[in-house]
Amino acid sequence: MARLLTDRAFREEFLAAPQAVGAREGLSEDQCRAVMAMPPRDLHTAARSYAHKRQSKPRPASWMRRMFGR
Amino acid sequence: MRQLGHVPQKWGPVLRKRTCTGKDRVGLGWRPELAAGIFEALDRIDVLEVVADNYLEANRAQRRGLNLMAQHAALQLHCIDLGLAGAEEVATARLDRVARLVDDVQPEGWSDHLAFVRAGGIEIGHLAAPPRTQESVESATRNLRKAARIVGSMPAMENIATLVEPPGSTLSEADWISHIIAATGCGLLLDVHNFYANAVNFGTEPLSFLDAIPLERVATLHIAGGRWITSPDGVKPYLLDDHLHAVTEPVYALLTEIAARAAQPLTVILERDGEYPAMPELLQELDRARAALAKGRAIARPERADAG
Repeated sequence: MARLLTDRAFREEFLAAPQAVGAREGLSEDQCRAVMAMPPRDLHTAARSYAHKRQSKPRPASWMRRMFGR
Repeated sequence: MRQLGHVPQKWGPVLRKRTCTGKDRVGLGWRPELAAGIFEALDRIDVLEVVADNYLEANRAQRRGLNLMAQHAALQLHCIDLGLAGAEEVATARLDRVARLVDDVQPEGWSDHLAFVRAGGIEIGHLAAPPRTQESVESATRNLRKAARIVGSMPAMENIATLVEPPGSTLSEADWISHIIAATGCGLLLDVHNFYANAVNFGTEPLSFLDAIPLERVATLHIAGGRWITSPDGVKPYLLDDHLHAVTEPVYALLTEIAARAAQPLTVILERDGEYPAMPELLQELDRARAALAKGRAIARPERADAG
């Protein structure tokens, strides 16, 4: 699930061939069916939202700021 | 790392310690960008909620600033990166750092989310909803007990907003939350905009969610605003909980409903994470939250939950 939400290429590969990719990733038939039941539109929208949140996170503080608090 | 704004000398006299009075309280999420406005308006802000993650690696000056604030304002710590509802065991090192911060700051309480943020070595970068199953109830329970053991107190756990129903779920969100609360005894940090957005996005009834959760386990609530987005193909609208907009009327109405049903004192925290308006606008939102609570308290509800 974490990979589906964060890896666009993997997400598109899975949606194109869910059973084959699911089997390759070690998902059981039930797990594969459950993931396949997710509306792709919801999945794409959630993934885009997560990508936006990751991009808008502040960059790590510089060594100077860590050292001197400025 | 975000830095706590320094407290100018001139604000010293207006700072005063606030303690829980048994009455409803309304407060604000502490953000460095709002520091000046917050200190000038502390007489209208009952409690501050600080994002703990921003202080886990704080330097001495930043910790000193946080401690100063904790001495003068009721303060709660809010974690966003523990992933306590994940399937994997939460790292001891992460909890050790939270424990040191809690020990240092001595907040009223601390909280995290009913979410996972990483799995299989992949960092999602935000809060994701795990499958709502008995298995995830058990893994969350293990993590919460570990957290309570290391930090010294059980966190309150917050319901999250999600744009996708977690696959493989066998429990409703409300039942899943109730099971975790029953297994751990944790409190529920009830995010009103999150459950409202989930209801809107998945076509359920927000009042049904309220009916099904143990409202007596709620001490603190979050309110926030969001915005409408559409799916990448432009077809389906979603309400996104982005914390970048003003609180909307349905959220205040739900706040009134909660205050009408709950017997215990409630603390409402307004969350705002960017596109900050002028402080008077945020204070107006706090006033509206106060009014919504008061309106609810004035309504008699025979099914009112017992104080927890």
